[in-house]
Amino acid sequence: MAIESRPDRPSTVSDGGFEAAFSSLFNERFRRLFGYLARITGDGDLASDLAQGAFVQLYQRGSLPNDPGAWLLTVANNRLRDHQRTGRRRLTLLSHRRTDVPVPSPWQDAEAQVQRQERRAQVRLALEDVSPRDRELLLMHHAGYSYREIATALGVANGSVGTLLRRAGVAFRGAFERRFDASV
Amino acid sequence: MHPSDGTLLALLHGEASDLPHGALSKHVSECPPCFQRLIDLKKDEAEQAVVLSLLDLPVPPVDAASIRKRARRRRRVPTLAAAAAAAVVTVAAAMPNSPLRVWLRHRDSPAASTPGVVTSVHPEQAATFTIEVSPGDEFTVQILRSQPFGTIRITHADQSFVSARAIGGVVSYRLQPARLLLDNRAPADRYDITLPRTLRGVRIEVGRREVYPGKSPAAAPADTVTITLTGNSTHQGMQQ
Repeated sequence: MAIESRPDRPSTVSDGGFEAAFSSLFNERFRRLFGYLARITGDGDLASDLAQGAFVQLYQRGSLPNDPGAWLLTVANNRLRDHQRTGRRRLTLLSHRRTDVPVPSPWQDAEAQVQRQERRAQVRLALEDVSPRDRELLLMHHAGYSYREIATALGVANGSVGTLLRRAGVAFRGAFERRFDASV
Repeated sequence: MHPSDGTLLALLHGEASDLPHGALSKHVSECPPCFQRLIDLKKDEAEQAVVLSLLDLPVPPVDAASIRKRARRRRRVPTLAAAAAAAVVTVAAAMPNSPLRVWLRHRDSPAASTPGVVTSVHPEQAATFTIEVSPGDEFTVQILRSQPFGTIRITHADQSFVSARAIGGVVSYRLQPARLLLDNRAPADRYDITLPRTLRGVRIEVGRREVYPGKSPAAAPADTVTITLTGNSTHQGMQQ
């Protein structure tokens, strides 16, 4: 038996203050959240779905949490894990889908494009070799999230993020070098 | 004593606020090996940033207005479904000898309560889940995923059932023998858990962590315990 709770909905849903704060938060945070999700999934459509879903959930909540950035990141990350668990759509971390490839600039020659695609595939493979937590840490940090937001989203102590990031960086470099006998 | 790479990295990211920042910067500027490590870390970081930027994809053209539309659309569907369900339940409850009528009669009978069986769910409150338990039972409430923030308020009361309520977030409830599972797909701001004083032992878990150990309710007959969840740690406050 399962029922689903819904958040208490304070009157702030129709409150102009919340609406303005939501718009401002969206403009400030959507790109960053999408950037993180795009890198970790390798699938622009999925990343867009997950990021939009987190913002929809925030809007339906009707009020802003204490740390909206960390809240959005936590929700999006949970949604991503749900997605990976249920396998509703195949995660394309290792794939070479055409949709993964940004539209090339017209002045790039074909050889440069091929090299770029190969390099991108190598990065994905190396990322796949590190633990999920290291991967999330590294990508959250490089997407621009603060230590506090990362700590909150991953449930680790704020003071340990530097050390964990260092370990993740070393693991990523090691994975890259093992696979391709080349430095990052 | 030289700082670790993790500490130097935090310094590099401007996140060393928990540390004696001035002392750390001073040490690094005066210690050639540490200064060299800092430069190496900066180089590593820059290389990682370049490599990871290869994975970037074009940002979709989405704006806040389209998110609002989606949110309102999603909200309307459950409202309509709830209205339809309420109409069906009302009709069924009004019919003599309908299964619902029989169940309601059975539920209202004092002898009907069966340990471990859901006896009532309050749809009008939506977030409250109630389960009948027997005196002397042990019971566990498990919040399935880690909760990096929020509070859990535990109240011992003179009642025969366990009730749990999540405020904020998206939480679904599942029942297992002697255990209530709260699947916090989006972390709730607060959980209110009320427990009968007659339970022999109670355990509250968040993720894989036990945040409230089993204890004898008789030792604290009227207490309310508030657990504050922060990152990976918890803080417990108690009121008699």
